[in-house]
Amino acid sequence: MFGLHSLDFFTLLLYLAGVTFAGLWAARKVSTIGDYFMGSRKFGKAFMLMHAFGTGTHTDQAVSVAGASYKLGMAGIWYQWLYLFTTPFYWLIAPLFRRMRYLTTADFFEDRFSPSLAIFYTIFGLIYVSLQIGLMLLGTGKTASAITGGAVSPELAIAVMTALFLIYGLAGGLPAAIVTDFIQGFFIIVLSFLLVPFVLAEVGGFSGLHQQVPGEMFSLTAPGEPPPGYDRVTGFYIFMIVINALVGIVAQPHHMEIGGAGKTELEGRVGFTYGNMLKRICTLAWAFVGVACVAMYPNISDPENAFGMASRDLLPVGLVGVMLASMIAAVMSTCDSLMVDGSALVVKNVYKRYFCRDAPDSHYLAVGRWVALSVVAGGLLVTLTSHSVVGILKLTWSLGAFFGIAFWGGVLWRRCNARGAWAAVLVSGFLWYLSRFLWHWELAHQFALYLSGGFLAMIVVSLLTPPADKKRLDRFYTVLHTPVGDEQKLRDAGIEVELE
Amino acid sequence: MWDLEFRRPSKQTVVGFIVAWLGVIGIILLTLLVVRIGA
Repeated sequence: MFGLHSLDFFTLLLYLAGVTFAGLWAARKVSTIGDYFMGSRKFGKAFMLMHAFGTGTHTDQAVSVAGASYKLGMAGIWYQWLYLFTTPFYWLIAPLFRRMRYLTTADFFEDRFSPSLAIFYTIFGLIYVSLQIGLMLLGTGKTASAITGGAVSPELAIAVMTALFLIYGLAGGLPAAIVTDFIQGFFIIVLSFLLVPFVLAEVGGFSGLHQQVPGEMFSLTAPGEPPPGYDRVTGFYIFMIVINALVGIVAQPHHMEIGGAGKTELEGRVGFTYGNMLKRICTLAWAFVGVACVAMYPNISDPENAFGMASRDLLPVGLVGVMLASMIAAVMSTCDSLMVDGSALVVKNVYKRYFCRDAPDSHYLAVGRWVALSVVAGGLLVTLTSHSVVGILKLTWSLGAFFGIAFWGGVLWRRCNARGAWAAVLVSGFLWYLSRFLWHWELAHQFALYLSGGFLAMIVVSLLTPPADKKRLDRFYTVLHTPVGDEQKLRDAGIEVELE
Repeated sequence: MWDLEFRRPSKQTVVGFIVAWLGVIGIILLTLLVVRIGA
């Protein structure tokens, strides 16, 4: 059926039915926008860990790391591991999101700086989540089609995945996303490690692998001159990637709920840090499969087909269905969260702020569901019709860092004001444009230029313009420095926060 | 003087940060071990 053995088809069906049921079960208690967009901040460490893992890990990453490792050897692991050294910092960053007590990152930009910057951030956030969703669905649809030998078209695979995460995601919002991520996280681990014993058996174990693959393929150091399409991985490159990631990660829309949906700050810390740590371990398996494919398929024209080919050729009946389910799980677990995050930005920071301030929560929930649907539809439409989506997506990665400069300025420096924040976003964006499109600099040099320029502009403009209102700053920093659980201190100070 | 909003980190912050770095080092060592098996 659909190019699958009946056992594989049944396995896949069982997964899809199970995860949809779990999502709908989680949707039962959703009645407010706090429930829908932030899960009422009630989740424990295990759920938060699997949520961060599921949202941050998707099928195309496994496919691309295996492809890079097929081409470069184990050094291909760095295309995901470049963020390895940022992972411990998540322990420091996660409590910020929980302690700010906001629903969206745009809330931060409005509260700390200005409504105009919040609107600009909302536009960026919507573009980011829509394109991410579209690209992930498209990539996974193609891989699923390859595994079934073309019996399932990419369009059909995309339609099924989209329909299912829409069913539970629209009904249950973030709680449904987090509950299903818990199940899907296990499937992603299966996706990562399922192939390893089969490729080892195929190549004659570890020793057979070393006999068939050149020794330099097992080095973690990338070659000096990378093949076309791959960046040169140097010490400076890794350093700048880490710095850029640390600056920009706070501005990615979904991190507000990844850090903020836990019961306390510790839940956010454990989830954010160790969910990503788990991803780094899975990355090891992806790279290993890529290297083993060098022995099995010496001449693949497109290295990114390596993972799909090994899945198709090596997995026995029954496990092909598990692999397909795992691939779908990896993409659904990300898309459901991003869809809710995009909807939160529009409902909270645009619709409720400018169009309909005092409606009952049921009204905002209904609007939120329509917006979530539009976010997914928009992402699919742009992805399927645009030829330069990858280029646009790379633009959103850098845009994240532009907003990240303003975010860090707002958190760490009291003197930073709205004009300084705008200057950081605009100047870093302008320098990025110059260095990327006009001067054609390498990526690491682009990062160095726009980050230093952005921070400098923020400092100079903030110092040359009047400081922000003292009362507003006092309120912001009082909330930020009051640990979760000490909300009585905020009430005593006359400060009300949403969704305590 | 610089209006910076740094606070003294809690014990949970410091210990957790160190443990997270140990986790990163552990993952790198695990990788180095895996690529050497059978060599």
